[in-house]
Amino acid sequence: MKAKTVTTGSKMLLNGSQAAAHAVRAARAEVITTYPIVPQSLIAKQLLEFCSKGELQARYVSVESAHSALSTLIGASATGARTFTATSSQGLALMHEMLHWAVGDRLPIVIANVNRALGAPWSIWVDHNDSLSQRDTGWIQFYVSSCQEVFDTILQAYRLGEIVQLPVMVNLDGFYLSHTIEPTILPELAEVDAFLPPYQTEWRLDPQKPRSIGNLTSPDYYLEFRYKIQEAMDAAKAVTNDVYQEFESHFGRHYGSLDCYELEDAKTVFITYATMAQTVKHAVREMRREGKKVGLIRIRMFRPFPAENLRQLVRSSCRYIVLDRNVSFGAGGIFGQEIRAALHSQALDSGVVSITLGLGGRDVSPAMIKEIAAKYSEGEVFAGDHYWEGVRS
Amino acid sequence: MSDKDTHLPPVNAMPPLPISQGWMGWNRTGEWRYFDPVHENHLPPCNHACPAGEDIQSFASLLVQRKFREAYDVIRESNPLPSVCGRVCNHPCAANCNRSELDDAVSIRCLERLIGDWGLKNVKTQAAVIDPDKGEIAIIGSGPAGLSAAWHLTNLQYKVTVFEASPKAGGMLRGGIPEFRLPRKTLDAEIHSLVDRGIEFRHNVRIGQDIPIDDLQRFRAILIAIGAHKPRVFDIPGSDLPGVQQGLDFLAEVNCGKRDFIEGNVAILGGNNTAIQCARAALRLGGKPTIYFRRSANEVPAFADQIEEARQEGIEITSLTAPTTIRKTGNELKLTLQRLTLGKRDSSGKRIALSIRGAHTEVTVSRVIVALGEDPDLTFLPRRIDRESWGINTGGTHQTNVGNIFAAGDCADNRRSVGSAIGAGKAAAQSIDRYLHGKTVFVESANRIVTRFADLNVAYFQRSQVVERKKIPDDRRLTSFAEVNIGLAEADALREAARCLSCGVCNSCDNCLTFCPDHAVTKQNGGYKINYDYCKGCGICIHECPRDAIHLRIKQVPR
Ligand SMILES: Cc1cc2nc3c(=O)[nH]c(=O)nc-3n(C[C@H](O)[C@H](O)[C@H](O)COP(=O)(O)OP(=O)(O)OC[C@H]3O[C@@H](n4cnc5c(N)ncnc54)[C@H](O)[C@@H]3O)c2cc1C
Ligand code: SF4
Ligand code: SF4
Repeated sequence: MKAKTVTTGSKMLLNGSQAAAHAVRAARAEVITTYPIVPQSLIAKQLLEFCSKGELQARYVSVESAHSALSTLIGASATGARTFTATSSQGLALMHEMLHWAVGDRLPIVIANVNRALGAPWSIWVDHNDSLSQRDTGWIQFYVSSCQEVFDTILQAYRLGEIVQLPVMVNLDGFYLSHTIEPTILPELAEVDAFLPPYQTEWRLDPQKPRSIGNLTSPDYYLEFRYKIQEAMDAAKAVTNDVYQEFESHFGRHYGSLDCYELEDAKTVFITYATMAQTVKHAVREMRREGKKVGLIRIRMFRPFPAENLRQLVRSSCRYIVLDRNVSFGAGGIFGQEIRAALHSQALDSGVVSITLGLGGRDVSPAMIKEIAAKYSEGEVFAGDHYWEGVRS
Repeated sequence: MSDKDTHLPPVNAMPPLPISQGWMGWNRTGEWRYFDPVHENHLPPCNHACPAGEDIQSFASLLVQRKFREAYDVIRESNPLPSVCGRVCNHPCAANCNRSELDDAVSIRCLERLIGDWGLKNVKTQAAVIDPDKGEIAIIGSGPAGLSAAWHLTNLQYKVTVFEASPKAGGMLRGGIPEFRLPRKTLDAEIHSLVDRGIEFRHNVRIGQDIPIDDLQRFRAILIAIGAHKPRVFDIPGSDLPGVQQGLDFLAEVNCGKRDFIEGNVAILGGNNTAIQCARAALRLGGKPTIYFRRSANEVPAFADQIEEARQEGIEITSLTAPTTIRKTGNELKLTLQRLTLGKRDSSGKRIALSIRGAHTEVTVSRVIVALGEDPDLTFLPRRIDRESWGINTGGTHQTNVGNIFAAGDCADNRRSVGSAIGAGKAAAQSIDRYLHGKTVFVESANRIVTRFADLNVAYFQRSQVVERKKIPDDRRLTSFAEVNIGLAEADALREAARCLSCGVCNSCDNCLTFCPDHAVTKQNGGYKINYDYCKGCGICIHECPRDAIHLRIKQVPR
């Protein structure tokens, strides 16, 4: 991220949850629902405070389940309201049915999912199986790695979603980000308004013109509607770039769907996402000082998957180590598979190692990253190889 | 495969999302339904508990709408004496009010009193249209049972004559219940409205003494409603001494206005309503009453609110004591009491009271008032009428074994309360009417389903504080016969009425209409109609109805 001069605004110490709530306030969300779940609840708390003080004119609905949290937003969004909810883990799992529904009805709802491992056993700490389990629902997904990025990405999410008419999930790591305080720049609300105009759509429910949406659809039409979702996902790749540019022109901060560090002459490149990327960046910096040719690609956008961008960066002479804080049982790390699939057409996938680590909030330290670099930089890699790191023997 | 030759639109001509372009009524979601929701009121527990069968939910809701006249008429459909009951009824309605599980029961009797008093002030009861062909009916006794039967029979167009031994009508309402509970002005006014209705009263006529019962054979039916006025035998050494008096006699004197000053301690023997009222009356006449009761404190049979009011007035109840002798010394009486304890259970499960050897106490009193219970005096009745130790046996039908002779109230029933006497009077009127129409008389069974607290969706109800009735200040309360309980002010009563949850009864809150995901519920004729072409039977309306007024029926499949 190339830091540019900030236009206007103020710098505050915020944790990731507060940053999310401030973004929702700045976006002037009109209907908000939440159902409490750790570690998401801080977002709900902050939003409630905004609403009760009148600092955000939104209809705040306390619901009886995460399922209802999203169902309510589906109704609200269908009338043309800008909507928001936050959840985690089991809550997101309970929303599963309605996640599909929001996509099918093409509703640009924004969810902040505070990543938390799924039970059983109970865990309240981070990994990404909750949101990655939802990858085929048709939601656009971002994984962010700083409080500033939480704020910025939620604004981008509304802009992007409302253009392509798809819902967007902004994922932030439980505790590592949701509860960690960083200096965060909050722009003037007027500047946000200029970036993010009110949501308008001709496809909204209107009592003056009664219609039903999401109705029973015969085989004559269903396929076309699904095709249109795929089209919207494809379009989102291009629109995202426009949104990044507009965002930069308003706020001075540059974003991409991928974020690169020390790639030029790297022989070993880590590919990872979320807060783990910050740790890796730190380790890469140290290893560079030691003369090691290492680099980092951080993936910010997971759906649509930025395959083309990735292909442009990848070279056959290089070893790629994908760090996955998730696992698809019986297949391997989910980012690992996505990356291999993206690179396969150019036969670039042969240098990709996939590693699962850090599940359920297990710490991933810079020392561990260095060890992994030493261990996996050499040697032959077989397609589909998947390793676990950190399992006690 | 090619769709080229079909009329279907190309993908680019379709909207981005599945949204109907026209009427969707062809999609009859009702076909999925396997049970039907139906709007159907169930019985509020208060109505169920009211022995007079009042429609409490209905009059409370009318009161909220300030429809006083309608509320008054609703009560009088079952009970001609709301001002009386609003004061003296032991209100089992409130004990069963669902609201008590949320916060406090609705003060139903206060609402009833307000409506009754409003009626006495604002409504002139019209004479009923009597149908001479229906014949005449005689009622013996003008207590609440007789009055209620007379009212309902008159409403059924019978000509009714009430024979009353006393100079004034009212039974125990006049002879037993003292003025500080029921002002005579109120009682007189309410009885007067029955005279206005066209009921004929023959006072000072004791059937069996002044007129033999056989002389009543010109009436098509006779109702015996003579109450229970014969005191149980009290026979211990000294029980015939002057200064020893039966409670009902004492109350009868006091209630007729004989208010002599009482000095010193007064011993009241017994624990029933008579005992309590004797003690409270004696206190107001200057005495220092103590109630001595044979059994344990939590077995005192008087109504709970009366025990409470007596305690508030400083009256002590000494339980597990029995009188053994009374002696006269000078102007005073010495009463010896045996201390008792509870022993093994008898066959009915009640623990037997046993004497504690040598545990006697002696108290010095100016008077002993005896209230050991009352039985009906049936000596004037023809022998052939079936009876039990406690009174006339009608098996609950209110018809005796002698076809045209009926019985109701304390003389035929063990419940012994004004409300149950009124309910019995009404039921007897219905029995008589059925009998005279050649139909069989039966025991009415309320087979409607009662809505209990667990049937409500309490998420829709907020807690609120009950508006309690107030009492007059102690200095007046303890020294005069002024009415102790003050009725609610109108604004308070309206607030209290609004606390009623309308259990089991639809009050058009629109929840079913709002929540139905298929818009299958519509308003119709002040109620709701479910369009079963679209109701898919999800049951959301049933769940979201706060008051248990929508129910599930298995879908009727046409054969
Ligand atoms: C002291 C006392 C206090 C009470 N307090 C309460 C209370 O607070 N709340 C409550 O709900 N209940 C109370 N009760 C009970 C209640 O009063 C009675 O259950 C109720 O009055 C019974 O009504 P009834 O019509 O059957 O008989 P009664 O009220 O006893 O009326 C019977 C009438 O028949 C007349 N009669 C009798 N024999 C003849 C005859 N041969 N010919 C003509 N007339 C005759 C009598 O003179 C009397 O007027 C109390 C009872 C007593 C004794
Ligand atoms: S809340 Fe109303 S309807 Fe329900 S039991 Fe109490 S008085 Fe009756
Ligand atoms: S809510 Fe509507 S659809 Fe569901 S059962 Fe009731 S009437 Fe039928």
